Amino acid sequence: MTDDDLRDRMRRADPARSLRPLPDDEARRLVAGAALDAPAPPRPASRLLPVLVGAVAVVAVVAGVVVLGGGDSEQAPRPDVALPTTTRPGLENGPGLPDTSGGRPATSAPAPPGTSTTQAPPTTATSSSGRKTTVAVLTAAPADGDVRCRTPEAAVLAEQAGMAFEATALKVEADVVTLQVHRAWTGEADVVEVRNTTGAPVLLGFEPEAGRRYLVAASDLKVMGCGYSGPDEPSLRALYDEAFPKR
Amino acid sequence: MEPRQTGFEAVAQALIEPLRRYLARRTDAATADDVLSETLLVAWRRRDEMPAEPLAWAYAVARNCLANAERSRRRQDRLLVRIWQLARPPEHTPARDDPDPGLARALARLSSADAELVRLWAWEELGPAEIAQVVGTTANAVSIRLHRARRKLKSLLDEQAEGERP
Repeated sequence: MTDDDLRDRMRRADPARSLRPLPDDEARRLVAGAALDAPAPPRPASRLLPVLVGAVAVVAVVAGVVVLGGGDSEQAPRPDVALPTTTRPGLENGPGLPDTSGGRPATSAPAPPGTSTTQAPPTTATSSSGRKTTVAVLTAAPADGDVRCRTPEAAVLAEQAGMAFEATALKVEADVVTLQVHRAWTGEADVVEVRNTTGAPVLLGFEPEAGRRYLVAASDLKVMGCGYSGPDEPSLRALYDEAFPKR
Repeated sequence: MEPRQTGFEAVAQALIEPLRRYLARRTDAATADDVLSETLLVAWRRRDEMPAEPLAWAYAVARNCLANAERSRRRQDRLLVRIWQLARPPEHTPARDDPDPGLARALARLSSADAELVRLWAWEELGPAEIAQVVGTTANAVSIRLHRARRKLKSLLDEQAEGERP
């Protein structure tokens, strides 16, 4: 095999062979964004999203059943879809969580030795308005550095999320965070209470902020991570809007 | 509009497609988009350093931006795993079809530095002096290492071919 043969074979396998040129206006927008010293906003499915999950991770683990008000604008989440109301054992593995498979077929990851995997059952409380609130419980996560997330996809969000809502963290107390739901793309809730029993290490690096707004998706009362939940940002909101178009 | 900005815009427009291909060959589409924006931003901030022939220089900027993005993602992933219950991930993304798995396997058996030299030579079509500018070494060192890397890659491919013969 000559160098030319090798180069020809490399070129045939070039991953960029099928890359279509960027439209001129998009290229101009990119360059103009740089010249303004401000990078162009990332697309909704940006790889940067997983970091957003971390912030809500503390906040998130979910449950909430009740009634929802409003939601009326073009982009507004829909208020009229029922939230799953069954109480289920506390949180375990939810969709949209870190992908540890390295591309291999996925399997559930066992908890590490010494880590409690007992999942406290959700509790059901009755609020002053007579509405029930279900509280789910997060258990400890195995420590594994070899983890990556796949890019969030609207289709996955649409298919798997039983709840998708915007909410503001009202109260942050030790391992309990209370969220006020404003609107829901799918599901119904007006209060979500999150209890985190994983202990301090799980909170490493992230502090839930009272008053901050989040977008949270959940499947079977399990929060979807890996870019599917996070602080309320345009890119994440666009993902939700794409997943749940106005019907 | 100041002349320098006009000049930068013209040059940057010409760099976009080569940079997009460079990134598409080395990372996923979403990261490539992010890193392309970042690369252009860094290029703008360092436009006074931009040489008359800016392509290899721009590849070097993109290479650093991509390395930063990958480091950042690894940190995020390590942090996330402490936070989230590990889970069955969504099964929705099939692996991209690799047109030449044998070549991919052979490249994977080179050191990452050597494989990158071969990629820059074959895919970006750079000469030793330009490759040296991208990876931050001397043209002479690139020539020697590239020669060895190509020889080893060919040898690995030949081994594969031998093994596949009936």
